[in-house]
Parts: sequence; structure tokens; C-alpha cells
Amino acid sequence: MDQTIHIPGHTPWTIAIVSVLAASGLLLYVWRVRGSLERRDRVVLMLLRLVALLGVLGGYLQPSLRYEEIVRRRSVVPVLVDESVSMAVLGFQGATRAEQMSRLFTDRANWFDELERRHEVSYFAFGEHVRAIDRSALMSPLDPTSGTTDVLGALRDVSRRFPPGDLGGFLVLSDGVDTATLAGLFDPSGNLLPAGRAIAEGLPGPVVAIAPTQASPLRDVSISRVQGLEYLLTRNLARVEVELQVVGVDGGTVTVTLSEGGQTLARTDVAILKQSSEILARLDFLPLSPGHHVYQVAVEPLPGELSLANNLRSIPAMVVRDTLRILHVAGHASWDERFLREYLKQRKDVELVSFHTLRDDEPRQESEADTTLVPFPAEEIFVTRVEGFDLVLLQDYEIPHPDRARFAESLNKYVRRGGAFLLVGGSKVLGAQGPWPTHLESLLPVLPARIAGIGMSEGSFPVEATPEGRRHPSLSDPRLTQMLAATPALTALNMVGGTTPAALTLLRASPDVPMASAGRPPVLVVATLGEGRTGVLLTDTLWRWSFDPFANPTYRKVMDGMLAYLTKDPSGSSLQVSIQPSQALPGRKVTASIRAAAGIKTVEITLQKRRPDGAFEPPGLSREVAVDEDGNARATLQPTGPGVWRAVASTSLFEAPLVAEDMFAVGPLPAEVGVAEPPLRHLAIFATASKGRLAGQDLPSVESLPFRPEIVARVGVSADEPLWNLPIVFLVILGVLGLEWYVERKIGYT
Amino acid sequence: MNRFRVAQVTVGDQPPCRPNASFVLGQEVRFRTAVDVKLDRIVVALGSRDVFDQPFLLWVGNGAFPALTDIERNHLRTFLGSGGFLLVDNAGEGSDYSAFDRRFRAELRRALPGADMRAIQSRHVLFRSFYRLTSAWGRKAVCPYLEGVELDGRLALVYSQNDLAGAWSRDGYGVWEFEAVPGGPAQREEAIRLGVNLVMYALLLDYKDEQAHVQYLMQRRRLRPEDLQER
Repeated sequence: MDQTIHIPGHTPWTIAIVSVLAASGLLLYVWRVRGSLERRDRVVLMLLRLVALLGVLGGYLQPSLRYEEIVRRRSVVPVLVDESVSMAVLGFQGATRAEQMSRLFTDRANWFDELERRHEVSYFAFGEHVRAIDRSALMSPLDPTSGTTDVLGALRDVSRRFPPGDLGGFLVLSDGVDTATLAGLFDPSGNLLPAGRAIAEGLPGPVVAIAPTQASPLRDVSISRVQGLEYLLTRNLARVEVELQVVGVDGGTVTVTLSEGGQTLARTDVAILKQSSEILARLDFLPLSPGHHVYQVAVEPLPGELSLANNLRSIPAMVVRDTLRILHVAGHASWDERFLREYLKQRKDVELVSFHTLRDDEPRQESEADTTLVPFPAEEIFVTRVEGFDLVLLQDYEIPHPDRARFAESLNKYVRRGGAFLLVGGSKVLGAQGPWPTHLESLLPVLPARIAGIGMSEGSFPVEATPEGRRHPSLSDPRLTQMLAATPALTALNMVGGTTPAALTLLRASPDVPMASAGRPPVLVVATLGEGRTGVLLTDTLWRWSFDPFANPTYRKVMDGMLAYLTKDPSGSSLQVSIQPSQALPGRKVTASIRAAAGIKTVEITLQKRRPDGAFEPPGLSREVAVDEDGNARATLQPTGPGVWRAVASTSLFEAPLVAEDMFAVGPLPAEVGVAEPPLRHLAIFATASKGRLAGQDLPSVESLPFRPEIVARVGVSADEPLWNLPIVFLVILGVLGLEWYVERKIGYT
Repeated sequence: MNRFRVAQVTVGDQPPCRPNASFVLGQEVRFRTAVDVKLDRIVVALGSRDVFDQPFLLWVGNGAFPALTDIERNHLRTFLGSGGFLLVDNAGEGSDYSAFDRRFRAELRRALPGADMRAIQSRHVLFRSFYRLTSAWGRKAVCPYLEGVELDGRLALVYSQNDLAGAWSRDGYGVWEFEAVPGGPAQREEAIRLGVNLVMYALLLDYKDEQAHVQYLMQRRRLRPEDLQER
């Protein structure tokens, strides 16, 4: 029960006006009696008049004594325990930060008992989100899986869960790593900005932070920053700079590697200098194929490191092709070379490097100075610089002796690593003029003819697409059959002994060919080889299609498709999938955007996680998504944990299977696991600004915590007892007025 | 097979002028370069569809010729627009020279209304496509330059007024049919070299211009750590 004076029926304004009028009347009275009376008499009269005025005021305002029922109860103190990935870092005595926090709940249970006696305590775990948790669950270390930490967001979230007046303060158990807004409240010098101070002071209670005890001595090597993977061009050397932060390690070396799918792309050893905490490692590598990649930068762990989470970083990167760089080597000037060259030069996205043999090596009468012939840099283009090309195109060209085998091996290696190779036939290659090119056998998707050296087969060869060719993404066009029917017949073919088992014949001579009984001769054959693709065009008269105004579009269609397919250009695929975001936080969903060619109605999509050895785990459950009229489809997918993931979309078109994939990474924000030493400065300043403080694992006494101890709640009014209508009040006023009259008479004042 | 041939083209019912020239040009190209040449004497009428089998045509004129029919004009336009190369050579003397020149220019304007025939500068890649050349003389030395029509950035038609075909003409016994004046054998050799360059240009276009940029193009992509340091 609580008692308060209550003035009903009056607003503060009316009370103020009446009070001012009463004071004015008193002052007027004082002014009137000044100088006419002795000081003692004057004081007595003013006191009497003051008492009378108070009595009149009481009569006018009619105050009452209010009896209220109130409840005093314990304030609410939320306890927020950090469960972000950074809590996995090792600290004092080899325990992780999460383990240190859990030990507080087991070893210092009395402290929390005392806290619960004094306050209404609720327990929460927080990282990216906040979740309520039992105290008993906190006696075991929380699984530090949250990829981000938002301390301020957690405080606000918890504040909304209780009436503002009920909160007595916040107890935050965290290492201070915040990847959300806390750092934004500080200037670069680490001082709390006015806006940050306002936020801290505006919290419904002070923040007391309990920090883990850091290990001593600290010993850790961490990846603090990776630069150079933001923008990558295919077949352009990329330099990746890895900044390492070293604590507690003097001397020695660390090994830094860049890998993809378990395959090491670059490795370097960097020396750790004494008295230096930052090391820069440079890794050079050649991105070979366009599209999304997930690269992994790793620092080899040193013995006794506090954290291994900050030794590895998975970084998604987009590799784009700036231009399609084609090496075009022709054995001699010809119409086939000329029209192919003109086609390539007219493509704005092609950067063409041409080498044509203009004259054989026979001695001539004229001097070399008369001509513009230049030496052919075979070593440079076939070995040194071959990786710089997206496609190596040999046209009726035989690799020269004496380095033929070595150059062919270089080309082989280039294709197996993701390059593209196309051999255009003619009178000098594929056994037409000499023996079968055995040195190119591994690159060619065709088998040697039974008889070599008999030239090309001449005649009239109309061309048609094979069933595989009609379904192939490089040629898929409903009008293809009609387009091919309108092309002039080829007049010469390189005859081969068939195709390799892995090859795919896309174009062949039509049944009109007299030799059809021996099978329809292949014209365009492709195959995959390692990571790359190869193709062979078994004619040197395709130029007739380009020279013919009606067949020219078909020529371009075939060449466009062939180049796109060989170089793995997305435009050469009938199915594409893209995942956003390419770097997802654990627990978050990702969105798959699918682009499908006309005729595809549904697509199956599934996720696969990459194992450390580069292989993929078996796919999870697949989902079927419908493709809309524009050829687009979307699906939301849930990766089940951190790691490198692959989204695989599959469907079929004209009964041919189509598969597309995209890579993405799931993991915490880099800052979450970046450093071994807890960055407590921000949290400490913020807590202080909220009238709280930062404390260590030696918990301060509960009574010393700056939390508001109790909440006073009024639950109702039991009675209002008027004060003004008491008889004693009337008698006092009457007595005062009578006394004033008597005194005035006595001193002679009228 | 994909062999290069020099086909001589005729208009109307006119017989081919300098009929041995195309064969000799083919011989010289085969002898001097790596081009796989089919040696034959082939004559095609401009009004025939056969012109679309031969991307390199030689038209040797001497005097006035009948006005081109619509078909011939259409073929000429299509041939040049599709990537064909036409070498026009004025072999006439005196009034015949002028008559062919006038009629050819008039017909060209009608066949290719928007085309602009201009003198080919001596720095053009045509003069470097195989040999380094400084003159454009043929059997005679009437005009010091060649003229040409560019379509889609390439020379589609080249016009010589110096009787190039006359300088190339050789009979079955290997005897030159016409004397090159005033320069004699040296002038003839220059004319043959010009013929070789014309063929090489038709087959290679601006390949020789590109060679100047090859090293730059080769190194544009950085493949080795030292490539990064060079920049």
C-alpha cells in the first residue's frame, strides 16, 4: 500500500495559475505593509496571511490522500550467450571460448543462483538470430555454428520481448566479435560516435559483458584478408594476395595454398619475421574455365595454434571470359582459311592471333628482304603461350618437325586442362598427303583411314545433321534440317576410319553420297578430353557455305555453335543454372535461377556437398521445378551445413540428357573467424556507455552489478481520502483570520 | 578440293582477253607461295551461276563492252558482297583504253550505287601481302596507282589500268607475249609480284597488318608471374 497526495479535477495548468495568483496577492500585501510597520509586526502579519492563503488554496484545489496498491518485484535480466563461429577459437587452458562460457554455468552456478534470486533471469543464445534457451542447456558448450554475430540486434530483439520497464539490464557472454552493426557505431580511431552513445544510453538497461579469458601465450596464424579473387579473367594469370596475421610465432615459415576441389592451384612458403604480426603471401594461378568457382585459401596449421577455423577460407569467385582468344594456324592460304578467318574477324568477341604458312621451305631466287615473310614462333605458340588461348584452331596444318611430338604433347596437356582444340581438314592433314598424324591421335575424335596418303575424297557431299547433332546444344535449332538442306554440297572430304568411342558425330554426308554403303562419312565430330573439348571438321570446302549468300547463315550457325561448345561458353548450353548468393551463411537458403531452352518444361535440381578430396557426396533429394514460357525457373534450396556446394540442374531435350551446374560456398563471414585475440574494445566501450561494464571470467559479485534491482508496479487505487473538508482545516483558517484581525487591531494597522 | 583457281570472267558474248594470263598467274602463285593452286584455264560468264564457285575472278577488258544485263549486274553485286574478289584489268590502248575505262566505271556505278572507287594508297596491306612493292605497273605504265572498292572493310574489287594481264601472258612455249614498257623485265617481275600480292590479299586480307600486333596480342594475356611484373 502506498500513499500519495492527489489533486483531482485540476490540470497542472490550473494549479499553476491559481498558485501564481495566490503568490501575487501575497506580494501585493507585502508591498502594502512595507514601511508602515515595524519589522517584527510585518513578519507576523505576512506569515498569518501566508497561512490563510494556503488554507484558501487548499479549499480551492481540494486535495485528497490517495491510498494505492503497488507490487515490488525483481527486474528482468536477460542473459545472452554468444553461439557464433568465433566462439570455437581456443582460449585459456586450451578451452574454446564456448567451453569457457559453459564452465561459468557449471563452476559458478551459485553466482547464477544468486542472480536469479535478485532478478528474473531469462536465458538466450545469439549469433545471427536470438533463441531462448534453458539454463541447463548452457552447462554444455553451445555448438558455435552461427556465421555472423549481431550483438546490438540481439539486445534489441530481447528488449522487444519484455515490457520496457521490466528490464533491469543485460548480461552478455561474448567474445566481442561482431560482424553486424556494432563496429559501425565507432569512428576509425575506435571512439564511440554520438549516435552510438545515444543507442547505448537508450537501451532499457545497462549492459554487463562477460568475456572469455584469452590464451596465454597467444599462438595463432590466421587469414585476415584475401585479395585478387574479386574479378578473374579466363586464361589470365591471377595474383592472389593473402594477408596473414601472426600472433605468438617468431620465425619459421608457413605454407599457403590455393586450391579448388582438392587440386592445388598454387602454393608458396612465406617466412615469419620476428616482431612482425602481418605477412603477405602471393599466389599466382591461371583460371582456366569461366563460371562460378569456389577457391580455398589455406594456411598450414602450426603446432599449438589457438584456432584452425581461421586457417581456411572458401571464397566464391566468378571467372569471366573477356574475349574469346583464338589461335588460328593455317597450313597455307586458301578459301577455307580466308572465309573462316573473315568470320572470326567479324565476331566482335574474338581476339584472333593468326599464323599462316605462306611459303614452304624450298629455296627461292628472290631475297628474303623482298618479301614480308616472318619466322613462325612455333615454340612460343605451341608451348609457352598456348595456355593463353581459349581455342587452338589448326587448319590444314601439320605441326612441324623436329618438335612435332613435344608440341603435340603440349596441346594434349592444354586440352586436358580445359582448353579447346579444333582441327579443320584439308589436303595436307589427316593422312591426305602423308601418314596419319599419330602424334595428334589423343586429340582427335576420329580413327585413321585404312589407307593414308591418297588425298581427299572429292565429289559432291550434301551434309545432314545426325540425330545426336540435332539434339546437341551447339546445333540445336528447329530449322537446322532445312538450313542444311539449303547449303551447297561440299566438294571434298577427309576420309577417316570412323570415330572414337567417346566421340559424337554432329554432321555427316547425307545418303546421296555414293559411298553410303560404307557408312555415311562424318563431317563434324566432337569429343571431350579431360577438362577440355576437341573437334574435327573433315573438309576444306565449308567455305562454300560462307560464300553462298543463302547458306551463309548456316555457316555462321554451325561455327557459332562449334566455338561456343568447344570453349564451354554458356550460350552453347541449352540449360544454365546460377545460385545466389554465391557465399551463403550457414542456415540460410539459396536461390537457384535456371535458364532453359525452348521445349524444356521441367528441370530437376539438387545439391551436392564437395568433400575435401574434391569428390562430391551423393546428391540429396531432388526437386522438380516448372519452366515458364520465357524459359526461366527458380527454386529455393537449403544447404545443410558449411562447405562447398554444387547445384546440379538436369533435364532432357529431344531425349538427350542435359546437365548444368553452379558452385557456391556456405560458411561464416570472414571477420567471424578472422582473429585469435578477442576484439573486446568495442563491446567494452559500448557496455560502459550503457552504464554497464565489461567483466572477465572472474565474475563480479551479483550485488555489484549495475542492474536495476526491482520493479514497482501499481496495480490499483484502494481509496481517495479528501484533506480539504476536515473540520480542523476550517478551524485553522478561522483561527488564522481571527488572529490576523486581532494583531492588526493591536498594532494599529488598518 | 580446296584448290585456288584464277578464273577469267567475261561479259556478254565477248571472248576472254589475254586468255593465258590467268594460267600464268596461277603458275607463279604456285611456284612462289604455299598456296595450293589448281592450274587450268577456266572462263566463266558473269551471267552464269558458275561465278559463285570461283571467289577470285579476273576480268581483262579491251575497249567498250556491251552493257551488263540485270543478271550480270546482280551477280556482280552478289559476288562482291558475299566475299568474292574481282581483279579488273584494262588492257586497252588509246581509244580502247578510254572506252573500257568509261564503260566499266559507269557499269560499276550502276551495279554498286553506293560504292566508291578510290586510289589504293601505297601503304595499303595489298603492297605487303607477300612481296614488298612500291609500284603498280603492268605491261604498261599508264596509271601509277591501283583503284579499289572496299566492302565490309576489305578490298572487294581492284582496278588496274596498266594491263597487268599483258605482263603475265606467256605462250605455250614459255615466251612472253607482250613486252613490258618502259621498264622491261624488271617491270614485268614487279607486275608478277603484284599479281601474287593480289592473290595473297584475296586469300589473307589484312593478315600482314595483324602481324605487327602479334607480339602484343600474344602477351596480352598474362600467363606467368613475370608477365605481371612487366606491367
